[in-house]
Amino acid sequence: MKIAIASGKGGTGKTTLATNLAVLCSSGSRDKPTVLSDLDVEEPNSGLFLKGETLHQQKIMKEIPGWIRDKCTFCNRCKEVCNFNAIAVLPDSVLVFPELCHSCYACVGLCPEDALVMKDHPIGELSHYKVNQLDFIEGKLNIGEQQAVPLISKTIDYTKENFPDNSIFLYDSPPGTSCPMIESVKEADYVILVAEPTPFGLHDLNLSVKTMHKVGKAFGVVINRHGLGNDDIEQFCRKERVRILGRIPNMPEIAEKYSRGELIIEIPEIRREMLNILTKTEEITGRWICRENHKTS
Amino acid sequence: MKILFTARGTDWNAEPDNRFGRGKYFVVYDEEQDHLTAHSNEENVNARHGAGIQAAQKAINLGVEVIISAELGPKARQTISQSHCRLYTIDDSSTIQELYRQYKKGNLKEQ
Amino acid sequence: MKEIVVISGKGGTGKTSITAAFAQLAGKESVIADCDVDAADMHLLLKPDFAEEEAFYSGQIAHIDQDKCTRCYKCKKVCRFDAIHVTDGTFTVDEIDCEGCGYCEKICPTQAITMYDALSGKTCISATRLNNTLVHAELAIAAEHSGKLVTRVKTLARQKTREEKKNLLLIDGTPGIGCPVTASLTGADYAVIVTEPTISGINDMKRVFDLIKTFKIRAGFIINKYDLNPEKSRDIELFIKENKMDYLGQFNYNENFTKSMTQGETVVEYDAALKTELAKMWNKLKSLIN
Repeated sequence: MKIAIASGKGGTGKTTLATNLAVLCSSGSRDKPTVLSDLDVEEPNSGLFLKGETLHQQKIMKEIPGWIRDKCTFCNRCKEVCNFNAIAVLPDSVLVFPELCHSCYACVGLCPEDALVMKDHPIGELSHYKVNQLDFIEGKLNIGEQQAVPLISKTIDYTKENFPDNSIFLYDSPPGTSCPMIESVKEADYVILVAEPTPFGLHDLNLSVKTMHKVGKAFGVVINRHGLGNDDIEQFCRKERVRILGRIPNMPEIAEKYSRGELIIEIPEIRREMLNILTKTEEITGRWICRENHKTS
Repeated sequence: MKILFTARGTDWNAEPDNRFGRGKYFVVYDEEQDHLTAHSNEENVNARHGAGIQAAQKAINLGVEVIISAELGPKARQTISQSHCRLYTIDDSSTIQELYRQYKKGNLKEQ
Repeated sequence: MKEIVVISGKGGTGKTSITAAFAQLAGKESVIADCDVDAADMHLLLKPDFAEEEAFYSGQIAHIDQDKCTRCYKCKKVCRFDAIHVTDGTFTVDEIDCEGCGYCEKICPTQAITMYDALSGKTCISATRLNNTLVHAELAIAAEHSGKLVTRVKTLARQKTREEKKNLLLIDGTPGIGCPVTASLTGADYAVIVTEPTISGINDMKRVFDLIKTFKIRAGFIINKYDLNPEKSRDIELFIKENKMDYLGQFNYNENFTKSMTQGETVVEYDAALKTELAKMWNKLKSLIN
């Protein structure tokens, strides 16, 4: 079961929901792993709320062409075939700009002299932590690197290679509706969209809903900071027939806990609401997610 | 010495173009031949990515030794650093002729 | 002409509310650009008229001409993005997965593949209800967010600023540290960083500050929701001092930021006390850039 937690706008509570749900799902579940992946690789923050032991760390690479001077005839073919302008052919050298390269292999495959070969270039780091029962995987993009997508897809690959298919996979997605977000929801069975009941929140939720329709994903909405702003968002969900999975109230206590990096399921009523969200998700998807849920209900 | 100006037109009266990668024309003055040539930079003006890099490659391949343009971005600068080109920043001159005069007087800022 | 860009690293710190407030205070002296094209919200407060719309194409997508395709599988073999799907012997391109690299086009022996420009959004030049010009954009759903649309918005905004003979361009920047942020920072004279005293706010602020350092742009900080965690707020102040950056001011948590938004107003129109605070910051900002 793969659940992505996403939002159109940043700062709506996506990471809060992802970390708290992950801890709930993992507690008491010994027979299958719960794996939370922080795919918001530009600004990964889940790790600030989850303190655990480091099991594994590795650099994440993407492939870029490396130039072999002795073979090159300076024919300019590599520059011509690069649709991303990532190569410059100068009178006595060929330059490759890793940030612009999409690792498409066109230059390597089409070079008549085999003067380019793919080599690894680091773009970020992956860390695997164990936080009690929870496996937490974090992808972090190096500063100056510009493409989040290859790092997101490699972080997902790591989870698929290291955990059985029947695990509960939760993804903390990057905000927005463009390609990094798409990459992180592509494999999900279900998407939870987090939104705030404000005009900005509604506008961005509308975009996220359209995105879900475009990529054909089943989804539900969690309203965060419920009580703030107005109820336009509830009306929107009714009109668009979007399922509301739960409402997290606008409480100073939550904001304070969040500011200190604490989990909000320590507040009993929030814990109940989070379990509710999981129950609804289980009902909709027909899949078992959280053992604790079945104990309490 | 061959000197390159980024400009919005093709002759000495052209206005300097405050963009390097997406500058409209590369106007090159060959001091020895006393000859001015203009090269359209159309392909890079509309480039989707890496306009600075490709413009730098173009400048180097034109064989210029001095480039007078806006401040170059990091990638264009890296490309230029592979050559012996010197970079100067355009001032508020209204034509490239005036800009050339300022360059000769040593009034332009080296990048 | 001076360019000020407002960023935050983390979303939801109040960046757009504060930029809109500055836009109100600047009035006719400034052109405004909304570069947060993936979550463009400025228009909800400034009510632009969407006068000049322009389609924006960026990146390419491959298309296979079925009449010319000989089903040789070459394209599928070279595609690193699994964007070529074969169903019942028909080869098609998945528009979402295609990266637009054009390798397939170049390798196809029968020239059955052509690349076409992908529509990835639109730009607008508008007059706002405040009678200044807003340049804004909308990124198409699931489009590539390469920073190109951000660059386009900035180019149009700079043109407008010159045409209208304004001295100031005020930009609502993008969250994160990837290429859209790089695009919004390129060419700016000053960056305003809106942060909040939460561990994620601080973490993201530090990451984006590292990025700013590579641009050698001066930065000024605003701490929003200061009282949420005064201890962390003091940590931020210390960070600013250590890095010798400007401190523009602070706000305590104030629901009027949201309430004004619900009314479709900027916060300076809604709350006189906040207006005084924001005006102070705005004047400080103006004196710092000149």
